[in-house]
Amino acid sequence: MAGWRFTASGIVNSRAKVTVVVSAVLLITGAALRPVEEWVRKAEPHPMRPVRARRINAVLGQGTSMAVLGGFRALVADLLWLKAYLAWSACDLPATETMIRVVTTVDGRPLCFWLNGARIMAYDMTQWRLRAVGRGGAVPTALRRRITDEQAGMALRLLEDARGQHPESAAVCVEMANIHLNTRADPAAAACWYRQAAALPDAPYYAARIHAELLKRLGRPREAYAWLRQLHPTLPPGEEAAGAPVVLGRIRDLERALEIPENERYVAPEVDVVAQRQQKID
Amino acid sequence: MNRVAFSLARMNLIAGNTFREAVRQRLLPLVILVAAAMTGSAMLFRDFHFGSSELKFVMDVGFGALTFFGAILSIVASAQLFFSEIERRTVLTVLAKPVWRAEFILGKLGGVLLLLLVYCVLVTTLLAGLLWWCETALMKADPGAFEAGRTVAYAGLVWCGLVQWLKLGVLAALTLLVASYARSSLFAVLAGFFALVICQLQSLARDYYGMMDSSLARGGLELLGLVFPNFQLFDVADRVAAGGTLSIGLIGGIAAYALAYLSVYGGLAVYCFRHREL
Repeated sequence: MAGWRFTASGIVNSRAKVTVVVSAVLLITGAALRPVEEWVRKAEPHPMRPVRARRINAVLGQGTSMAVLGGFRALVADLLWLKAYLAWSACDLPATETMIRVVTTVDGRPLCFWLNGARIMAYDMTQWRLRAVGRGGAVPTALRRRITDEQAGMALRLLEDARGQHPESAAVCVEMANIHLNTRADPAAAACWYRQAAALPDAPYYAARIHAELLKRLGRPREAYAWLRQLHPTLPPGEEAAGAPVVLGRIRDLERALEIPENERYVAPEVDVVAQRQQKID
Repeated sequence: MNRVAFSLARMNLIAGNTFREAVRQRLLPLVILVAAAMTGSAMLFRDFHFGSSELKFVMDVGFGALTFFGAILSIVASAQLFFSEIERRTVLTVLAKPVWRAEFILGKLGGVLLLLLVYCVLVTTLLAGLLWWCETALMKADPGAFEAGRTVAYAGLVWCGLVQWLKLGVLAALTLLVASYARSSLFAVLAGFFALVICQLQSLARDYYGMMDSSLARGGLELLGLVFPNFQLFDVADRVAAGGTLSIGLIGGIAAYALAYLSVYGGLAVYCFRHREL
């Protein structure tokens, strides 16, 4: 009996000792590695926005939240995007809108979710609503205007959220400009957004050109001229998409229209024409 | 009796044997088959995209399969391969020879790491092949969209495979630590899965206990949080699939973090096993 007690207490003591040692070492390791962990988190170029678990819970249930938090965020977002696609195919407006919101909440990193979602809201949903209201007939202009405005507003709100996640993305600004221009017929707002897009590092060259064109359309040719003068020297001469000759042509048109004196006209930086031709041949 | 010195050769022998045992148990082929089927099934959804997300979808499904089935393989293989030696009593035969317990445990860990490496290499290669094939087909169908060349970052894909291997390795070491202390393989497997969930939800838990009023409860939970590694650090695949890049510094930091945990868990598993009654 005494021997059994001795053995049992020995095992308990041994296991307790192991438990204490293991716990202590794990705690020390965790504390020692916390700075490495923080460093890794900060080394991320674009830190991930924390997942709003409560919001996802409310819409999709805990299973999906667990999957999202368990490292399957991108996969869950893709599957929800497929669900959005099915709703879109059925022209189901509330379901499509909800799914777009959910997808961008679950994973807001891919730009395609935001851009395609905004396009669906601004263009497709407008058509669905007009079709439903008109029932094959004509829709009164005021009502058409209201529906178009509402849908554009919805898309712009989504893109505002996108800007929170992608502040350096020119594509979001260009999309906002396009919606202002194509659905709201608001060239002033569109010009502002094209200008913002042009200032961003990944801006397409055409954003700056469209900004100038819109300024002309708004009756502000002097501003357009100043903008193009400032733009032209920054354009790489050999790159077709940059459209340096097109911009120069527009500068000359504006100089004629604004009757700019000869001595004040824009002088294009000298380009080695022979070298440029040789580059083209190569 | 003279004690023999710790031998890497004996440890490698046990690691090789562990790997062969895993292959013989058909654990690896089964998991690879299922993961490959899941990765390949992403091709069925090719018609369902609207936008340019087709390649991203294939990549996300592939990485999902790599992580999910890898976690199962890591936990089950670690517990199963350890307890099969205990239950069949072969451990007694091995340890009756001049073999250190540390060699035995580290050999087991090495075998599981090798198993996970083979798994990660195979699934990542399959994923890269599928993406290459899909991208080539897309390039033929719409050359204008690929004027700047291929869009998938294949180097990033390789790094992702490596980071997933490190994560699965840490999970395997953690499971082996539990197994070296536990009395049944079922307990070790369940504890491994619970540990996986806890490690994955670390960031969320920290956000929540940061908001707690009671400083005692907050302190207790913070201490508990120190015991487990944060697995969200290893979720770099999402970033690559979303078009992001991985810097060498980031990979190096993650590797250092994983190797530190691997060493500590391995060392503690040896310590527990040395105090275990066989």
